[in-house]
Amino acid sequence: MTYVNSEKFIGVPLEPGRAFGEIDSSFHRLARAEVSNYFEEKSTSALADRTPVQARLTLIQGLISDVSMHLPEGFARGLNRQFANLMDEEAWETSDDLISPSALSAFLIGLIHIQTNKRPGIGTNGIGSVTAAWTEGPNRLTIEFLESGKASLVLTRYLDSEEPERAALAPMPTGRLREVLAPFSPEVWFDI
Amino acid sequence: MRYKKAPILEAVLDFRWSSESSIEELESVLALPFFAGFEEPKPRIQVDASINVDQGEVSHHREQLGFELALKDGAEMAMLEKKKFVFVQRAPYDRWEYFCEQATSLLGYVVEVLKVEAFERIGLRFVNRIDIPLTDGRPITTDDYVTVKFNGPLQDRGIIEEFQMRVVKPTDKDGIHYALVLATTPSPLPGLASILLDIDVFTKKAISSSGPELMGTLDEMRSLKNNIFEECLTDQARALFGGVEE
Repeated sequence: MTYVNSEKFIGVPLEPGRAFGEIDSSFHRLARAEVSNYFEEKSTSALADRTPVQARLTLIQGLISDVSMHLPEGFARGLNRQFANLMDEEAWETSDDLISPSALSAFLIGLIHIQTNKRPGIGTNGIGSVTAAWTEGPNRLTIEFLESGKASLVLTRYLDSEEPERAALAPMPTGRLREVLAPFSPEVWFDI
Repeated sequence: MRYKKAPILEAVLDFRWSSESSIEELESVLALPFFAGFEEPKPRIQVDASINVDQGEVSHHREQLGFELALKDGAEMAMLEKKKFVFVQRAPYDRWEYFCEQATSLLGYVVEVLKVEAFERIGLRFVNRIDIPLTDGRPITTDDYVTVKFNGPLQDRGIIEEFQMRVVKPTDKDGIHYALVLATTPSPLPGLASILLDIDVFTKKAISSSGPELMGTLDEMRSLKNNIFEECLTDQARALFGGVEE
């Protein structure tokens, strides 16, 4: 049979760790007979007991887990640990916006797109974005993945001369990153 | 054999028994040092809500079933309820030996403290998501990837926009059954079409809560699960998993 991914699928991706329960609920709803005007709903959750930071961390770890098979080995576990440390309740600045799911998606798509084999250092700038940084000696690259789904970057790169080349680029689609970085020989950061 | 990029979204071992433990007893299990690597347990609350429109009645009931806990990096989760223990490994999945050892070592303390002698049901469930690259946005032919076919009415354009299928069958091993779910599912990344392949192998007979009978049953269930997985897929699908490690 021919399957057309219409991109209009109703629903959200399954969350790893809870997918089995979500699948069961879905089929339970299909099988349930709705008799006259009587409705019954059951839900089981431990999510309600979390703080907003914990709930967002759970969501982020789920999104990373969701695409882990498309990342180099060890990336997903490492990133999940990094975000857990970044979002530690005691270290998190309460005035900062929580990391936006769309910024995180841009970050993950960006990682896959640039085909890096080196995990970046991560951070956030308090407005929901994800900052990814690679440093190799004096060569530095920082990409900021924004809530808009775009990415901006700044870099310092020593190529043939003793003078470094520096660049700062305004937000662009993540799909452009590889092309934009190519003249700066990004293998120094990405181990590709 | 292990696929380098196994499409496993989550692996679950689910053990259920008939006698009911109290919340205090569950707390005493989770206070053991063996659970110290997990974050603080969160209560698992079930809320039943009913609406009777004819009589204008709304009722709800709230009950704590047990606790849920997760590692700090979110890689593993455990759920301990009055009559069940569930261990979940989220993607990325490593290998069976590690997964089974983690689950059964925690289970050992659970059954010892709660004095569970036998399980009335054991479930081994692997939720897989097959991510298929789209070429120039063209549709995929599912027969190229999965061996389960849809043979319904074809008085149409011959195109599937969504499907969901769940089949429950006994295996050829006494007391072991399986539920197979095959469905389209949203893809987490652009440029992919995804198919869900959820395999739940479960027992319908009493199994000792420890010892060779338990371990032998788990090995048998794993073997059945692997066979079902392989039988559902084509070589073209397997080629998406980055090759194998022996």
